[in-house]
Amino acid sequence: MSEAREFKVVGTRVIRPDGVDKVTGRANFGADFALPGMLCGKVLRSPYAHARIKSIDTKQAAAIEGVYAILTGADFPKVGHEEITGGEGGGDFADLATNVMARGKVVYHGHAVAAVAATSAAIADAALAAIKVDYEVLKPVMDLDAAMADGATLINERMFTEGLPEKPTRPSNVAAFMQFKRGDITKGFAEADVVVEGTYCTPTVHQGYIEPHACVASINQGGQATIWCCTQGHFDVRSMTAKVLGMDVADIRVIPSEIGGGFGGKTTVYLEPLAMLLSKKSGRPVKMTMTRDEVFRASGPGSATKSVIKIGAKKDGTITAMSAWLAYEAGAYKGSPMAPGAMCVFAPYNVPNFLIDGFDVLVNKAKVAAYRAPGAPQSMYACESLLDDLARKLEMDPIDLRLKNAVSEGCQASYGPKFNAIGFKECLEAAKAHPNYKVKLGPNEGRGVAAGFWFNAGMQSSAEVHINENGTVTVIEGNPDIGGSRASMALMAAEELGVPYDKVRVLVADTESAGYTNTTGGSRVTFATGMAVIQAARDIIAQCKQRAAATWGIEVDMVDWQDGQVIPKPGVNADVKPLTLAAIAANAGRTGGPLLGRASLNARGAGPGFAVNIADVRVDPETGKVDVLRFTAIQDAGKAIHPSYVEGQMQGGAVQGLGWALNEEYVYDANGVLQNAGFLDYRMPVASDMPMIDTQIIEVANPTHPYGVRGVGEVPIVAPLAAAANAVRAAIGVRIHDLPLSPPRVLAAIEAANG
Amino acid sequence: MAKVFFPDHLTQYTAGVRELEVHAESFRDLVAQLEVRYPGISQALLGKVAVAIDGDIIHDPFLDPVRADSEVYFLHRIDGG
Amino acid sequence: MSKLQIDTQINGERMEFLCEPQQSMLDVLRDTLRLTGTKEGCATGDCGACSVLLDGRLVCSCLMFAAESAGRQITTIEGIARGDVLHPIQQKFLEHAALQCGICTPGFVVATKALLDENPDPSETEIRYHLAGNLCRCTGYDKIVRAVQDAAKTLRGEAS
Repeated sequence: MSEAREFKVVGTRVIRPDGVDKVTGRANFGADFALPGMLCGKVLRSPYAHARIKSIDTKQAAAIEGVYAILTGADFPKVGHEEITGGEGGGDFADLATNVMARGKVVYHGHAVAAVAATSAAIADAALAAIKVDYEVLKPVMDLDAAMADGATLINERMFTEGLPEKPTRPSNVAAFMQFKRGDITKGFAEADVVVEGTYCTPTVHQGYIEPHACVASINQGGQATIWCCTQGHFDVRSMTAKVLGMDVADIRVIPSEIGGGFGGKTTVYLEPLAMLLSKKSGRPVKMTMTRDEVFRASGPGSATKSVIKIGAKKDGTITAMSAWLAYEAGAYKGSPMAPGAMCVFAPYNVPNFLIDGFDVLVNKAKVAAYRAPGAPQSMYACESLLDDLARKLEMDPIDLRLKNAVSEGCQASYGPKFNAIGFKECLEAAKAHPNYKVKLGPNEGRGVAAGFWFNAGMQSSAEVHINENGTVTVIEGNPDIGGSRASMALMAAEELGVPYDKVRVLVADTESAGYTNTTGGSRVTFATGMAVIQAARDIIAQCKQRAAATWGIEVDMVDWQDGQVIPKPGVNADVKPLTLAAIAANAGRTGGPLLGRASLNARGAGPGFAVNIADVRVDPETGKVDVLRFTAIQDAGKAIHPSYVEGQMQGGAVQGLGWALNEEYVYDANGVLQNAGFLDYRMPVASDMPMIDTQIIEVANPTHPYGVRGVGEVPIVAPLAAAANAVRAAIGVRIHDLPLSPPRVLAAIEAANG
Repeated sequence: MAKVFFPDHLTQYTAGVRELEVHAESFRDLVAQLEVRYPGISQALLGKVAVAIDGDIIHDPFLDPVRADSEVYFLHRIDGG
Repeated sequence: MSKLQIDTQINGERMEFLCEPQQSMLDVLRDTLRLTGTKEGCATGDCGACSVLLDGRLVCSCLMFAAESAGRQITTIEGIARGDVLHPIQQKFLEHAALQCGICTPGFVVATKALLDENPDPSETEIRYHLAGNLCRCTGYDKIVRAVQDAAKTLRGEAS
């Protein structure tokens, strides 16, 4: 249970413990690692979006001096169909294995067909060029309409849509169908005074992490292997690599480097199984890195989508019915985030009648990976845009419309359970009261409001707390530090143990040193791993009380822990001085041995997060360029352990969302080849594109975390898409439904409106 | 009696029933009872779904306690990114 | 093709290395000289993670041949701190939480040094345009700009 309390160190803006190494270039990221005798591994990738592999001839390549190993799909064991537990969309290990190295068929441009390990990059390139692959080119299926059409070319002839009321007799590119309903939407729409409807499309986008995928794998002749890699989850790298290669997880040690961004895109494997098998074949360590081009073409982007939304409401703004038809591109293998997208789309609102139909659809694009609140930005972009049009039609303030229908504690979520304490209304009220909401706008300027939501995850975490002989503290945990989590773990341990922050060290340990811990993602680390760290610290406290009581010759229930020391309870007759953590640690050997606290848990009750964003834009009517003048992000964090890093998540997510809204999109040619596989033409926001991002942290404590923490990492990317689109609508007077709102599209909309 | 709610994709196992009252002490116990009533449903539940018990979402539930007045919702598993 | 022998100065220290004519400065810094603080984000000059100073001028080391460093002075992230004291730019980045994952940080610190060496009192707009060649995906740039403003103040001798 969370305790309303005054915190001593939690909530302060300390310097992160890994910060000095990161500002001096000392911190080691994925590509910074090297081993003696290391070979360079490279991947041969499919030049076609859809083709059968008729043959692969590697003889010439193998003969090149300096080439030590070559792999094709034939070198990999067959992996049976087994659901990947965790992961949004029902991913399958067989698909993961085939994605890592094609078997018999290539299903996207850039799909791995072969891999080589050689003594230099130049020799590896020469080897790739010498591999002869004979393809039978097939017609690529490149968008939802084409994929879902009757008679569409099939990407997987054995794919039968799951989840339909009647089992289908014919295969399809639709991997799964899901429906959520409540009440009776026909009745609901009939009761409405106003009904609005819209169709919205969002493009394929990339998480855009600045660090490309990189790893070194080394396996010895006894089958013991080590992988150094940048990843959000090294335990998943271990299990996935083991699955793909038929190895025992006990034989693989994964050492996570620092990670240069992930946003969900580094929760799977691409290079690691290749590097491992190349290392096995060659008997040498193998390093593999992706070029930026490969990252865009062959890692997992975020789903393109099409959403059809309908909302019915009374004149006073009360929603009577909502419906959604949501189609998500999964890429070449099933597993888009259609389900969470469908569960989030109406989540902020009390909707008495709704119907949501969701489709997970195959296309000949790279298999999608998670991208920050997977599924939610796309579906909520559509709903929040339509709500804006509804507000306009009802002549209602868009915040008031949302307040009228907002969920709060005790309300039933659209995805099922009743909400415990949540902060949506508080965010809405804060937005309404915010000075930015009142700033006067000029010509060609517009303001847009939108709401965002994400469940946030719990899942498994382990933590150890070691007390050093001088009373300083080491926390051992297993979450790669993607955004300042070491600082938060140290703050929570320091708070619990009553020691200064600078007496705590945090180690992100590898798979053989940390207890099993789920990925850094899902907005779960401060919540679940934080909970484990707090519990491990409390384990230390219990041991300290025992040691002190024994030292004093009294019962352990006669002592208390207060402000970092053990004291006799009031009324207990013991003429003793309080024992600090340091004093107990100094004597630990005499009182039972080293002080070691531990905790492992499957955290339940992750608190859902809500946000409200206000975007102000100016549109240049001659060029269609959208400038963001002002952006306000308001979000319920439960309890901000380190406010600067909470603000950082809000600001970073806002700018990522604005990029998605205004400029980012994958552009393919007719053959399914990505045209803009680089940062020049996949245009992410730069510093000169953005204003300061104003933030306001709301704190409605999450009752299941000892300090009230709610995850904050993913919610921030959800609302900016519609906030920007609604602002553009206000600025130019016409609604553009499809993202991104890039200058050519905005200009076309302006010109069409002007006739 | 705990109230158990089935999302649409699980109603194929319950012949369309969306809401049920069950007496159970834990999630495992609950699944065992549902299996008796709807044979085959356990393989769609154990290791496959998340559950919300009184509003708290649990990933991969098993021994988690269910109270006499609990509300239980089965959910698609969500990890995040 | 035989290798070139290049004589240069990196972070004030004379260094000699062998390289292929077509090798980039970035590759030589990282792979030959093991100065891995400079990062590769794209190798096409679009992200700025590989930023170094060439005779004080901000360049993308991925767009420079290693051979071009002959007889010139290179400053990398490893040369920004003075001994065991952080440069004020580095200190302010820490204080303002101007980094989350940290991969872009070496590039930003070097680019900021180039900016403030040339313009000790830049406006917010000038800061944003000067740093437009450095991509950050985590922070949204807000705290980076604030750190740069604060570092500029410190370097001008004003209390922050």
